[in-house]
Amino acid sequence: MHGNINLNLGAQRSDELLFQLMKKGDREAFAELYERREPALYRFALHMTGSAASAEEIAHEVFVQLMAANTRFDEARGSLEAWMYGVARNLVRVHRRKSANAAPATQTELGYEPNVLGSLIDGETMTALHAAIRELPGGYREAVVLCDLEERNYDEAARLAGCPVGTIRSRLHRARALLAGKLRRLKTPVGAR
Amino acid sequence: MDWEDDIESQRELAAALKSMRAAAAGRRSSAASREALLREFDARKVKIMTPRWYWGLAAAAALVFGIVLGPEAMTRLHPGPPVNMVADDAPDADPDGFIAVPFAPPLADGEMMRIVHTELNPAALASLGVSVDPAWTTQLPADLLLGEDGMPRAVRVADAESDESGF
Repeated sequence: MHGNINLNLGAQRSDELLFQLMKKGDREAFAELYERREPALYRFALHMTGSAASAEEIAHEVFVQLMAANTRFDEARGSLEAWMYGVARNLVRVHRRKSANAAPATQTELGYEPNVLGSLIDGETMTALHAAIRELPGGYREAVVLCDLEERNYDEAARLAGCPVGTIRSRLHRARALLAGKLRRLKTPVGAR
Repeated sequence: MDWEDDIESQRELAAALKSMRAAAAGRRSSAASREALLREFDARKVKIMTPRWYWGLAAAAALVFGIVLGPEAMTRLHPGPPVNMVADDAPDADPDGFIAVPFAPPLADGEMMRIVHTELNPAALASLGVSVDPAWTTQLPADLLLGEDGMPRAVRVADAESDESGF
């Protein structure tokens, strides 16, 4: 009887296959790819920029570039997901250059509900952590976002960041130390510093 | 102790990161953004499909042109003598057979002119406004009417038997 079970029910079409189908005009393939990858790309951009509006813009632009006729994705050079993160990373860099002189993002810009955060950790700490993450060097910030906020393992994070696993490990270690130091200073009374 | 502070701050960091993770979980772009992308995808799909229609249209147009203009093309394979290459209906042709060079600067009052007899290839003649038979490939004798600045103001395709000594 087990032979009658359709083992393909749970089979998922690969990103690359969806991309090929989408290039031939398959709307459903594009929609499926969007549903699968957009939320994580959005969150990646949200954590990297600290702005909900910019995150939506960046996630949108990644898919616009994906559907462009001259998309430079080459399957031989890496996965589609890594290519999409590469595009998002470049867009984040552009965003940061543009907003270098702009005011830092507030919780309202990030779009988090304060009462949701309040049950877990106080708002001041959260705001400070956001600011501290944004101030990290790009590579460190990316390591924290991928490993600590998106819960990717080292291999996945290295693949998406386009660097060796050892680099991810060292960046993450250093980034955590910097963030912990900033949180510690935040908790230390001004007179005791 | 420092190491205790370190452990405590690492613990706080882990808790804060966990909170951030929880706050961001399930977040994504708006439905409007998704709809806009799908609309854009549909629009691009139309653009991708369009060239196929263009190729069909172009093929049909070429067929119609071949049928309509075919007989005329056949007659052009047997061109007449070179003198016939000057358009008979050229609006600026004068009784001597000169036709004005298009976009040439006008001559000033009293400006001296000279006529130079030369040979020009069909492309040069065409650039001077002469209607040229596409089957003609060799150089043709021509008279150029030049202003004092040396710029041609008019051109005439001369008979092959005309005097070649120039002016």
